[in-house]
Amino acid sequence: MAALAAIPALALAPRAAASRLAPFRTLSARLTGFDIERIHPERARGMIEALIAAGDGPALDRLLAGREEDRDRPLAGRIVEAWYAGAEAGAGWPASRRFHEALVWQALDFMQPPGICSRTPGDWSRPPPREHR
Amino acid sequence: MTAIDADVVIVGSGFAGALIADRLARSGIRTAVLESGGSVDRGDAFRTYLGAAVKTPESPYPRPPDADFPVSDDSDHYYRQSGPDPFRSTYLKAVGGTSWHWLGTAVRFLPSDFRMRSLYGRGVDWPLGYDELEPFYVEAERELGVAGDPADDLGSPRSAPFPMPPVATTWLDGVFARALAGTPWRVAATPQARNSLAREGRPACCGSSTCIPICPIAAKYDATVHLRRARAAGAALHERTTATRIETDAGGLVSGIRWRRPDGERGIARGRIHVLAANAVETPRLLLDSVSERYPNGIGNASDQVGRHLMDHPVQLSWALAGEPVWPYRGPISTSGIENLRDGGFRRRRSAFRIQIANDGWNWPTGGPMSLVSGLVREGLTGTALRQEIARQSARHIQLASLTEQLPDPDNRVVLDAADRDPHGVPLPRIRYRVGAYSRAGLDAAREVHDGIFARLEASGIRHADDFLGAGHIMGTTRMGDDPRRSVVDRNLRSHDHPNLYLVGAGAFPTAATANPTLTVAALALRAAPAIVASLNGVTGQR
Repeated sequence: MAALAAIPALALAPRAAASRLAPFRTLSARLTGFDIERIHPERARGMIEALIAAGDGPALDRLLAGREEDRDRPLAGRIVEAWYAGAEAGAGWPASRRFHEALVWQALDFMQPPGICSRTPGDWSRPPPREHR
Repeated sequence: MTAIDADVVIVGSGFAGALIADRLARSGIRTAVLESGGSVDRGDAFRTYLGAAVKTPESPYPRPPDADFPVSDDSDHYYRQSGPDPFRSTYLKAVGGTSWHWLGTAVRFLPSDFRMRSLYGRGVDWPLGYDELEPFYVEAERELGVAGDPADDLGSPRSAPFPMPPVATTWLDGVFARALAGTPWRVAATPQARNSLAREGRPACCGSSTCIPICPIAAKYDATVHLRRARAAGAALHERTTATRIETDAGGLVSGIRWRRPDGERGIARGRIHVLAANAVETPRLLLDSVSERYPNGIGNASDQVGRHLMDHPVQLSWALAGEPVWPYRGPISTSGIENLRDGGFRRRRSAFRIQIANDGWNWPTGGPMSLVSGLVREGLTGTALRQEIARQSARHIQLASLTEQLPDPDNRVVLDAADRDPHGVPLPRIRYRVGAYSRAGLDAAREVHDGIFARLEASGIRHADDFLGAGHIMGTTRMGDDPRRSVVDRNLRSHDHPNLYLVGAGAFPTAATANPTLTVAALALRAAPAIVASLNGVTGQR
């Protein structure tokens, strides 16, 4: 995750990321357990660029093709953590939004992301409604 | 050399400095506040927090080299640690001081807390008692805006109601209360300086849950409330203005306080009265550094007590998975505690403690749900199984923090580092600190109580931090007393050595008790303000 964080988005040929975007979103949805609608295309694009820049292109391509090997597990784990933890994914994504849109909060529907008011004042005195558990 | 002139010069704009500035300015007294740090913009600070990689209490706030301060994730930054134990409590330099990131807990001392020596043969007695301070607790609760449960005085008798009804306790609090019914451990709503209704232009708490490090909507009290009022009443606030030396005249009065700004500008602030409110590390640091031929031990230090008796509330942190979902991470960080273990004959042998029940799950010990993700991914979970397990576990995160009392020890102290200085040339603070057997026994006892509580909650995965943590409560280094040989200030917080110098804040505490210090800091400051006004009329020394 640190590697993803440290690498700035490079000006790659757009095709490199674009061609991988759809399968990466599908992969990310599967790995994270979320519907593909939650896998934001802009963030996905930024993550792909960062991975390629870090030299993870071949491993990424194996994952995307369904030909993953044991040695690719750490990369899969890093992708999951990046989505859940809201790690940066390239330029142009404000840090505050990354934090609030981190998937971990969407996994925890019973709470609001830190810094956001609860849905109704004082609702913390009651269990969350069933649909949010 | 620029001169700042006022009737009263105050160094530091945290809780104590802001309350006194407000009282003085509204009495028509010309007041100047010097603050080393800068202004904080709430929105900017909040956004900084959201983007911070590590969400420490100080993470939202600027920390320029000329107004540097200790940080939570590196105990060797700024502090120079002599040990044997690391001093882990931190603070801010900013307009409003550390009030920006305090939790908001506003608990009074117990009557016994003022008489540790007489009752339990430990520590010292305060020069004043609970009854004498009680009216000022009432004022402090009104000024800070404390919400509390009228049905329970938590052992501190009250002459007036709380200004506001209690902040709604959480479902989690109720789970604890029901599980602990019939045990010696009584769950009670925590009085806190947090609006439970809209009051005095600030909104009610909406459950943002980021009390530490910042309340995004200012429902939690911070000292900018009183700084705004003070300025509206004519007080001057000089930010990015660091006090570097105290000057005295031939008669032993403080004649002024030298200051510096980051652009190199230097000056002196002259008052008839001077108040140091820079906290229990920075106030002694300034006093000790103001050495002269006449005062080789620094200002206000004929007793050799300045910087000594440093105390914190060493914390025992414990966390676990509750047996049933408790739905944490909602509401303020803490709305209930266990307050009935704070007094008794056992204080002869070991420290008492107050237990803070956390609503924010495992944030303090582990970083919360984010860290859960890492662990589960490492175990090989992905996909729906991962997502469901994160939710299943997080819903059961419980945590207890017990604040133990540390006894005053003259060898626990703030001194000046022999080698390292800040950019203004003032030596950095060197801390000598030992938690001590009395508190260690309290930490041990707290751990056992935590185990008992967790058992009642059918908890699993119980963990205890293997070492103490700091509570951020820095106390004792300019302590009050009637005897000038054994204390630094008198019962009105006036220096024994210099009649026009007041030293306010938690440095004045002769003992630490188990209560979060802010409410008592506020009560003492509000009690000192009229004494300051009175001594203005009596001080004849000229600048």
